[in-house]
Amino acid sequence: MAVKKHNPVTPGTRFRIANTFAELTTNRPEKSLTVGKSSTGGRNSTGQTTVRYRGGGHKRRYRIIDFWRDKLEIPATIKTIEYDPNRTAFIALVAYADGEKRYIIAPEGLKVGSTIISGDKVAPEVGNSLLLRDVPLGTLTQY
Amino acid sequence: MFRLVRLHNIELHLCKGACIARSAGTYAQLTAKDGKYAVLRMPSGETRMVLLACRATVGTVSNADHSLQTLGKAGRNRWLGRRPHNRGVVMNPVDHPMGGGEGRSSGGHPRSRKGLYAKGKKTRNVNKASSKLIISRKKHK
Repeated sequence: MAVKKHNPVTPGTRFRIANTFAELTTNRPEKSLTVGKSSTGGRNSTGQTTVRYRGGGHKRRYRIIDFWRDKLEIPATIKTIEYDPNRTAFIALVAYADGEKRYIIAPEGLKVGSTIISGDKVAPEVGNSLLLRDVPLGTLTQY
Repeated sequence: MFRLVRLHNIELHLCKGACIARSAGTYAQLTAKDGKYAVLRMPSGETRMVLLACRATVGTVSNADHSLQTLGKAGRNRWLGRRPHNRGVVMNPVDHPMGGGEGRSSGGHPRSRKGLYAKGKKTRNVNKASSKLIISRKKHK
């Protein structure tokens, strides 16, 4: 159970069903992988409103996520599972064998200390990144 | 038991970076391979062909319980940067097609202030180049 139904201690908690964030392992992001993010208020680059009813909110820092997974054939270990205010999914800090650190979107079930790898002929296991060509059509275990 | 592989963080275009199935709890399934294309069932229910040379990550995205949350109060939405807005159904008929009526009567079909249907109307351009890659459209929930 990763959600908690709150008791009506105050009017705001009466209907509150909140995430317990039990999977998270730290509450501090890796500073070198974050950059400041300015809020747009729903305006695009020309200043015109493109999304209405946006504005305010808590200040955020953008976490630089590796969506490419282009560091091939180098194993990486999961260091932390973290909250990211910029998206609904959790993110994971991974440390590659050559010392580089990157953020990835955390898949379900990935634990601190487990190893992931990106490459051409890697095993189709949780967190591994491979070409669609190399993904098997079915498996015997659930991923 | 034989199961389809669940994938997330899928590239739609070569080397462009993952853009499919990145939000909490989502995944796509690889259902077939055909020539140079893979047939994927997208999180929306759409069945679409994606180049086999595109990259994907195995597994489903974390925080699947995100959709079970209830924020509990309006101020929590404000913390997330969402501002309040007026609904058409609470307006008067002169202001909105969904306005008016006695009490909390329904506003009829959801539509914009100019009368265009807001839900159910297909807005996708029929001449889009990617239409030939889409095998079946998304499922309505």
